[in-house]
Amino acid sequence: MNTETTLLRQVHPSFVQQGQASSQAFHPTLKDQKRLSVYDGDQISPDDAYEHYTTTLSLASVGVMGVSVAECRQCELTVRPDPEEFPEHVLVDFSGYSENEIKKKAKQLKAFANHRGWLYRFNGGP
Amino acid sequence: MSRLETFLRAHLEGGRFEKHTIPLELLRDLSAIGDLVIEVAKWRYLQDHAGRARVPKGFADTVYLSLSEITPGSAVARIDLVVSSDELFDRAEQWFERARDSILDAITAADQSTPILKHLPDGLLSYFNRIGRGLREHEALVLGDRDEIRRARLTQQVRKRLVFATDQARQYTETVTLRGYVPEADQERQTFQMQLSDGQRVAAGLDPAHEDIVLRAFNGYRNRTKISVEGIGVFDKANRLQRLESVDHVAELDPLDIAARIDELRLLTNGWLDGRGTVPDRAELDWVQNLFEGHFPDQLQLPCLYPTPEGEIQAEWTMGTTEITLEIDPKSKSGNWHEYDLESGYEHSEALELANPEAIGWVVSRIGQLQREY
Repeated sequence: MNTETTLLRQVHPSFVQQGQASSQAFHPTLKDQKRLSVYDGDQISPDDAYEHYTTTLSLASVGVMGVSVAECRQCELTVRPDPEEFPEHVLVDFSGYSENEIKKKAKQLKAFANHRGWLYRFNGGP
Repeated sequence: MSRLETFLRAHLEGGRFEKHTIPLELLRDLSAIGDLVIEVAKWRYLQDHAGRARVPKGFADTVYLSLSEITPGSAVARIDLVVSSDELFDRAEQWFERARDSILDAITAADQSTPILKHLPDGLLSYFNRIGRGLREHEALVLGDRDEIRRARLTQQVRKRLVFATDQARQYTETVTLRGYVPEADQERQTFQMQLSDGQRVAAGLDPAHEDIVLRAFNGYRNRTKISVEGIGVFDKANRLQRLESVDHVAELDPLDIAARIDELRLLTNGWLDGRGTVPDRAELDWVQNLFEGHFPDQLQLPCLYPTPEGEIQAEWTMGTTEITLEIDPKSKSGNWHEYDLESGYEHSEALELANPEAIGWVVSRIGQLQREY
């Protein structure tokens, strides 16, 4: 993983409307302990990551968007591998930031991801 | 010489009637009452004359019900019985009055969940497919006799009980507004299919007046072009919509139409986010829908609406380089505004009491301002 690596983020179907992903897709939830789960795009392709997420982990996704490690750093977010979960697992760490700061960073990541477009989208998606 | 007598008072209750007017579509419902009264009068007459196969000639031909005035409260329609002959009036009046009383008693029985068929024959209950069909949720048609000694309250729920009081009844009709896509249209057969947010398909007739919009939506299916259709829906006993019997209005919807999106959010259940995530209840989603539909001017850009794991709704706008979120808590009717300009770094957050019109006004004004800037 280097600064150019694309980090793959699964997007829940309810966080998409008219093809637009919500900033919530890039906002860690309470359960995530301020860490956002992504896949290392150097180790797995977007469609394989989707397959793993929806089949092996049995979680819901409508497709895959991506932000680079450099873009996360631009948002002052640290990125670290977390292979204990599964080999391609990576965490983007929001800890230490207030709720408004997290919202701001989630919006920045959403903009980066939207600029890049969908990397994989199941069956057209909502 | 014709005579007339006050026969029935029809009170319409609900927000739509507060201006003491009756929407024209409801005149069809009042007209259907007249049809039912005549049929019940005939039935009453034949019950009391066991040997007769039919009612006397002219029994109903010279009698009709007429809407004579609309008075306040919310809107009250006075319906008179008009008989074009004094002689016939004396003969017919008692059967029509008894018919009215039977109808009021049947409605009250349905309202109170007591036996209906002792007041009306099952063959006539299908008239309630037409009477009160234009009523919406939280509206009622309260019918009273001349002196309002007898009063009966008809709602959609009561109508349904009346229609299904007989085993013969297979379907029930109700005015509906549907929103969805058009995956199929058959110009030769003049039909089309609506695909609703839950995936259900509903067949409807294709009227030439609506053809342009329906075919545009059909061609825009892959781009998710949505339309709304108002008409008469046919439901089965299990309350499943079977088809549209008729279509009154068709309109193309904004891709971000609030009601259509709320329809989708209503399908979520607790645990929607991979086992987590709560959902707002029906009334809370109604409130969110009204927040935008009731306060947002048409020219203002609509937001995307997303559920949050905490049971709130998050509205999002992208205006040029500015990203805006408004977290709406429908329980407390409060919200959190957060806007961030990705280019300039300008950031603003605000806690809002959304029950307060001033707070809504502020949101509308700020969105309008940003819309003008970009």
